Amino acid sequence: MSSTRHLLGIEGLPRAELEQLLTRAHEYREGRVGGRHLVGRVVANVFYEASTRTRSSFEVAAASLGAHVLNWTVTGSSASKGETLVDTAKNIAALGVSIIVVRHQHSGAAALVARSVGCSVVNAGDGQHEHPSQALLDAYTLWRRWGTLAGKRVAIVGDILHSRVARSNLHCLKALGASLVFCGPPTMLPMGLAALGAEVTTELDHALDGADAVMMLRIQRERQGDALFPTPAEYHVRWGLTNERAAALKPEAVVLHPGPVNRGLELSPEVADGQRSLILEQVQNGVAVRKAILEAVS
Amino acid sequence: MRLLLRGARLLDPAAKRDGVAEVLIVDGEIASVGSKVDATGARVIELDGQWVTPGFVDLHSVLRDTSDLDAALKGGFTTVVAAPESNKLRDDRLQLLTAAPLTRKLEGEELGETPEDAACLSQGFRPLVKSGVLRRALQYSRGKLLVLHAEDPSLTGAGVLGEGLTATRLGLPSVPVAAEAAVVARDLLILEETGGRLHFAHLTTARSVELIRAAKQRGLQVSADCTPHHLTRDDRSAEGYALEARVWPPLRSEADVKALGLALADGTLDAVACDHVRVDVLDREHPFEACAPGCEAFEQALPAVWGLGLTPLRLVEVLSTAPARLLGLETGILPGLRAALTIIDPQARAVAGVISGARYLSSTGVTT
Repeated sequence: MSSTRHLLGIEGLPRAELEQLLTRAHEYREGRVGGRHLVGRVVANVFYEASTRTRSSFEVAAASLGAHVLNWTVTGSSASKGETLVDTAKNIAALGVSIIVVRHQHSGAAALVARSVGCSVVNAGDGQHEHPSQALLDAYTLWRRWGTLAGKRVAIVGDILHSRVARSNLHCLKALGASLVFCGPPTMLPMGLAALGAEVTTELDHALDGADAVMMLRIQRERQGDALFPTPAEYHVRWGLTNERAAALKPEAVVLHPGPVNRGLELSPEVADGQRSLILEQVQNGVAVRKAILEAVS
Repeated sequence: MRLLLRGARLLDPAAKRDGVAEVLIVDGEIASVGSKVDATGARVIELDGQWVTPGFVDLHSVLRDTSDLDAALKGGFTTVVAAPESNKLRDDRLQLLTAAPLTRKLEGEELGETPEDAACLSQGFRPLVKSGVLRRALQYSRGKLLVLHAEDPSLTGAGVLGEGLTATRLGLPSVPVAAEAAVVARDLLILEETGGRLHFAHLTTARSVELIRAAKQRGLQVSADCTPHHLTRDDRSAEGYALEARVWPPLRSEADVKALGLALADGTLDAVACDHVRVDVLDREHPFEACAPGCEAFEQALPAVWGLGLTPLRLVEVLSTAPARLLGLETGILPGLRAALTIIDPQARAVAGVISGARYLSSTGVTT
């Protein structure tokens, strides 16, 4: 490894480093620092998958740090026209870019880019592997609320198998002292979760019992071709956060969702907009967290 | 042209020979083997305790150009079978055989033609989904070896690594054991009804090996091999998305790797076959799952088998004698046979050279 700093994943990051990022994000969030740390730098958003939210969040974060933002969108068709990911990354780096923020449909893509270029790389989601900025903003949202994550119980519900958000959150929340329970249909629970230190259950009511926070993952309807569960209606009944289930949560328990929400599938509209929901705050906190990340790798 | 190998330890499982003897080769053919060979006028190669074995035989590799054959010779192989995905090559440095496609265009729908000179019929790296096609192939092709790739694509999905903790952590689509073992079980049931000679290429799981062991005990005419990389690497080598783990079939668990080694030792697995597949550099500049699978395996074969601690004769058997017999080839260090010999340096645990016909190719690059 060179001395170039990257954020490719949460796994293996020490607690102190995570807390440093959360603390810095908090300073940005509270407006305690102005921070024009990236004036004169170029941050390239390289997105192989459509993602308006994450891309916009990184764009706002980079711009408010004074960086010039280059949005390099790669659609599936132009990516298949022969240029390899390594080739594309080298070309972007050659423009004089300081930080490449990359989102790609394949696991390990950000690591591959980091190996291929001399500038810093931030993983904005690689396949089913990690989505570190999302996990950090989730952790920050809870940390801001509670002051600590130690001893808290967090339930993550949905398609764990395909979720990079779940993997990053596993590493992040555990490192910060929370305990985790994963819940979803058996077809969406990958092998080895227990070995990674999480509790695993297919019974939502069991997962919600004693939970301080519930993170509902997005069901990607485009995966329905895989038929991992029979119907959306059945999913909602068995693994959806219904009004009744939300009402039975601990009084102070909160609900998170990385967005965009399939209302009526993962959670009912009332829960999404209700008292417990921190969904909009997550979006707000995302910018502060991404500012802290961009600053840390620059 | 007379060539005398002197001072070598000859290892020939077919003749149950293990001892020091001289080998005289005249015009590319073994003329005599023994302690008092008339070597008048022969060029002498002093081997000083190195091993001489029948030349290694590879059952399936993808041969695209002569650099693949260079690699085969370096790895000690004097006979190679070109998998159906290979390009047509000619080379007189080694015995180059062809596997005919078991089904037309390997699509698994209709039987492929069975040319007389085909060494075997093979599905290459393609699954044979329809049981009915396999049944017909077994009925039709009695006598010829059918080389199968055991895979149920509906269980494989987009998988690139054996199911387990590593795949889960890395977020790589994974392949359950049943994707291979369920097909092995199915095919064995069909074989039991039809008869025929079935060979499973590149098995990877302990479960498949158990099925083969039981089938052999029942007296079925089944054989199987595994590759050098599946003997030496498990799914953990994909850590950091290392591309040496991007092979097909996918790498499996540590326990599976161990089971393959034991199965080679006890005869459940018959042979080691390379699955040498050279991947273009540009096909490696993608994320792990988007990269083309394959590895250059010829030169890994001997080190991989050596690491199992087999007896020297069993080591030669799995690399040479057994695959030769599966293909119906003559094998041994015997007068009258074409000279196809591999020279092994036991100290270096490496191939020191090959004799192929009248040629002596030393691994140090000396060719005569």
